[in-house]
Amino acid sequence: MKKLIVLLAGLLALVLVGLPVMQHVETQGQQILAQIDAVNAEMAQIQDGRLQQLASTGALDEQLSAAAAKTEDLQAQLEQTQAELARYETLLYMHTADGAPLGEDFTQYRNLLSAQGKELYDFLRVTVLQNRFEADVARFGMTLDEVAEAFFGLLCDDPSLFWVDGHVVGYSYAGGKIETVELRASAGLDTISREIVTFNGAASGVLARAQALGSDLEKVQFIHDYLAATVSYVYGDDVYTAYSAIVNRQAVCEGYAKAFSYFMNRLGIPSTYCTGTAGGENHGWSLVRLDGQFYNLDVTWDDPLGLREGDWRYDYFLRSDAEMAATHTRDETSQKLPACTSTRYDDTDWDVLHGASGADLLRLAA
Amino acid sequence: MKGKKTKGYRWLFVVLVLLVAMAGGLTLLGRANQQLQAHQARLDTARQQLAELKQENAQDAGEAQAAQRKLEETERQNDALQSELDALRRQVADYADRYGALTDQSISTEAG
Repeated sequence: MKKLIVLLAGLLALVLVGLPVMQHVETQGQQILAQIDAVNAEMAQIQDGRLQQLASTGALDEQLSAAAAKTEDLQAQLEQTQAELARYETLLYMHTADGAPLGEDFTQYRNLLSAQGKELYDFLRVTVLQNRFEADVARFGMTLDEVAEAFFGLLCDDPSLFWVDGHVVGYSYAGGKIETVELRASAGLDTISREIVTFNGAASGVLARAQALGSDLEKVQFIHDYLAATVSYVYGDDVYTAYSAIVNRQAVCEGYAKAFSYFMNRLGIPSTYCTGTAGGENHGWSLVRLDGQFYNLDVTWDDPLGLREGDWRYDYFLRSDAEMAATHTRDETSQKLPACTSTRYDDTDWDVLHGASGADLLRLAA
Repeated sequence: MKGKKTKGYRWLFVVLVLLVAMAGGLTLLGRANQQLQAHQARLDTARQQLAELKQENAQDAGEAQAAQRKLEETERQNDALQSELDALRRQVADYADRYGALTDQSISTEAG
């Protein structure tokens, strides 16, 4: 009996000690399981959130792509519009600065044309000023020679059109009359825009100095001196325009004379380009009107090759036709230009009136 | 003598029963403990996964915020570009009008 009691007591003690321990372990296990459930629930919630976020990120990416595409599109449109604006700026400049209609005093070649020829001349001028180089001229009913004469006259009268190539590069005709002509610019509109700005900048300082002078005679002399001092006679491809003389400071006779006419036109002194021969070769020089009389003026020959840069002479400055006849002969077209009958300055010693030094003029050109 | 021997066996039996009961209890406790440790390991793994998930989530949220900011910035840039474009177009239209008027005037002047 005693042993049974001890046995039961021992078992009871074991149960009393073991049960709480087991219960504790069980509780801890359940707590851990609950925590696992909680963690899993949180993970599931986060996963749902991520899925939604991924969906919204996808939508965001699409929006971003669309926005980036729009940016590219806008930038392309902007570039296009800026180019269009630059084009209009150039056209407006051409039209308002140098493209203003010239008066009769400044269009000696136009004055030689028939009424129909003058209309064609005006039409071609507006055409190139609008940067168009194909013109329907059928309504004028003119021959190729007549069209070429009007076009040649236009470029002689207006040296500011330096970007227009001097040739009629193509044409169509019917019954001997020209229907369309194709002209050509020397470069694309972007290049022309830059050249006009450069040309204007190079000429403006010279014009400002000349405009400050008192008389037309002083202005004529100043421009003569300036070109003779700063331009070098050079053969080449691009040496026939006012641009080549004024900006590049390199020209042949045509460039010298057209630059001179350009400055004169801008100073309001009538002047024109005159062609013919001199020294047995084709040559171009200038006619300029002072006090109602025209005079010959050859800047090229006053800047002979042997002379140093910055030096010049007055051997062909404001000469009469009679005085020039010893060396210069006008061609058929130029013979129709105003005659230079006045001998007023034939014997003038121009060095006495020398107003600006060569170094001064070279500084101005630089 | 025989009675003492029998008593001794009975006590031995009692001790054995108690020992077996203790061993059984300890075995149960050990198993429970093992299970508890396995649960703890699962919990640790789950927590680690949760931490990683949270980190990824935070990273995604950061990227989404950056994308949102970029979108807003791009839209602002587009608005500015559009305004600039509109202004330029107005200027082009103005220039076109001025140029049209000039060429009309020029044609009429030169024709006259």
